Amino acid sequence: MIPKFLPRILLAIVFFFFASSISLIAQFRGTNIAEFQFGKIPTEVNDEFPSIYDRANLSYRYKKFTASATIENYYTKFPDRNFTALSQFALRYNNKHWDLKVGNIYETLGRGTLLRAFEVKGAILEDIGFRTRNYFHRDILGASAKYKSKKFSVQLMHGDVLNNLIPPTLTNSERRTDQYNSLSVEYKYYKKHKIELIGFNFKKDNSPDDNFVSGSLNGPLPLNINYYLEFTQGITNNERKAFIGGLTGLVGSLSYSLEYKNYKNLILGSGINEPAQMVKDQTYRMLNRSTHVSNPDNEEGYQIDLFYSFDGGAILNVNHALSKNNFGSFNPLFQQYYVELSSSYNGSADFKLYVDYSKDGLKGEPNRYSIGLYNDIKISNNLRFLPEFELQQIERFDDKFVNQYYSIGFGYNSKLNLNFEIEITGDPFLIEEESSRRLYPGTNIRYKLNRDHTVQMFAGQRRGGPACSAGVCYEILDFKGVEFRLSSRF
Amino acid sequence: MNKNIFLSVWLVFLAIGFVCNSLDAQHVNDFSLENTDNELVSLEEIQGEKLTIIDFWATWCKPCTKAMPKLNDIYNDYKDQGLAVIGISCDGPRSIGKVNLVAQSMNIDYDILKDIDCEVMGENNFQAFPTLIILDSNHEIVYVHEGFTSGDEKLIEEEIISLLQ
Repeated sequence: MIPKFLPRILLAIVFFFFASSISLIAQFRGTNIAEFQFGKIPTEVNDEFPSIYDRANLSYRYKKFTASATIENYYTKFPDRNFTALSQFALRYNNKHWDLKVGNIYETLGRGTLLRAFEVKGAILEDIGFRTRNYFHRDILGASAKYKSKKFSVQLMHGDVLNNLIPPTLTNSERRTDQYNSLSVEYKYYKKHKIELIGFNFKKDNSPDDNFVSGSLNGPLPLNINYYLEFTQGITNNERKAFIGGLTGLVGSLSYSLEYKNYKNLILGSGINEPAQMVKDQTYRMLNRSTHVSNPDNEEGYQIDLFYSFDGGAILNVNHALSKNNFGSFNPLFQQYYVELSSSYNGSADFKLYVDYSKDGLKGEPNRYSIGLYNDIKISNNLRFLPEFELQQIERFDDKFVNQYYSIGFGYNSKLNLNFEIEITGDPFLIEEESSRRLYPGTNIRYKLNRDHTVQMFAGQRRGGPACSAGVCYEILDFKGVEFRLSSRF
Repeated sequence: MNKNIFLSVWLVFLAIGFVCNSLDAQHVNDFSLENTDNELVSLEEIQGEKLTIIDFWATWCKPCTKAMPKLNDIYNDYKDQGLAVIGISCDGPRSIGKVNLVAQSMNIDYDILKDIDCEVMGENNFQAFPTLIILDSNHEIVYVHEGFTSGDEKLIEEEIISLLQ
């Protein structure tokens, strides 16, 4: 575990840097997100209430050194949800060959099979249990030393990984129960080929150590093909293993990617790792919510992704993914067939059209059909009209229902965006008795005050549920009310 | 009490920050990342003689992939005048395997680098995808553009013309 006094010492060093920065203020930088909400979860018994969340990230750079600190605040009328916390601090020295870090850091090993720390930029997480709000990230409180050259690199790490579902209202030891040590070595051969070997030691609370080794190979092959192979094996428990492999290539106007995954018994602690999902990352409203989230306890599958570029700039994307879980007598299957066409007409309008068919055994949805059309139509040099539409029909157990999404938007350059949207669902899990549907109307406004400050406002009802951003999936709560955010960089 | 101290310190530094904002341009430190051929390259090795555009993007970000062909055109039009373009992919493990695929499908000619932990973007305090910054030859940020919609390429091009003069 990290000594208790270490944060205080590092904090003192950070503030020393900040203090000295006053004479060299050009190197003092930061970002701030302030979000005010007035509202509630539509179904909760409390009245609407105001809350404010703020996250300030401050950093100071002097030549090759960087010191940074993050302060988070959340305040409501409920004292047990409120906090002010120094949630991150870090020191870094980085030059051409050395990268030394101590404090709160983000690191990924391989493709996340054993360790993935992340930050979903700008996302605030609210958990249904704790009902407090905190930044959505998974960082590591520890240290990393890396030496790198053109042909070779070696990295040694130690850290306690954050369980991001536990909010800052609880103690650091409650939020960081997963600890690891790792040594990784990379070597490049035949110029562009790379081999990486990782030794990984994992420990949770007072449980025995769990050790792993992992190796990967990647590089180019003839005919514009690139390959990636990674194998991970538990040493303490040899039933724990993972294999992923992939090929990407280009044939004329067609580029393709073929990937395979096989995970066995590979959930580490509170979930400090995140093996590659191999299901397409979707930003469309319906498909983002309906995506498959891998279960590395036992999952096998593949993904085929094809892009065909037409003369004139249109792109056709065809994707098929399959994931199969084996939970004894329950073996759910996820399958997705997705086609998207992106194009423009006469340079005055762009559109994206998709059609999707999926089966999701884990959710009990044998048939799920989706279609969507997003447009960007030029009205004048500065003004654009942005209509969007999605329709989804889901069969779940004995139910069949429809989700609809409509949005009318306007954009003035990149400076101002305004949209009116409505989601309509017939999902039996969401509609109230004596009703056949539920509506989620809302308005979004986004205005850039200048290059460093942006304001955003939402008013209405927002539908919650699963959401995936930057490859990380999480649960959003329903919200009804008004939300105002100021994002600043300085 | 401690909470109040933290809050006060934060407010002081926030205030200093707003002052700093108007005083000076931000400097981007040299960094090294792997390109799509697994070669470790640094900013200094691939920067433009006069200007360098850095575009932070991800394969799943629709405005990012909309901007890339336009940036490729800008790169091909101005590379002989001392402009370089560097695309830094912030794709995580779920989609990093698609970086080559997406870049190839759009016939991107400029350098694409991979940053699986998105450190360069984070270090320079950018939060939105896509974010495009233009650096001068001293690595000072002289222009920032967040998001991308049709027509933005003209604004970016006008800025480049003005900065190259």
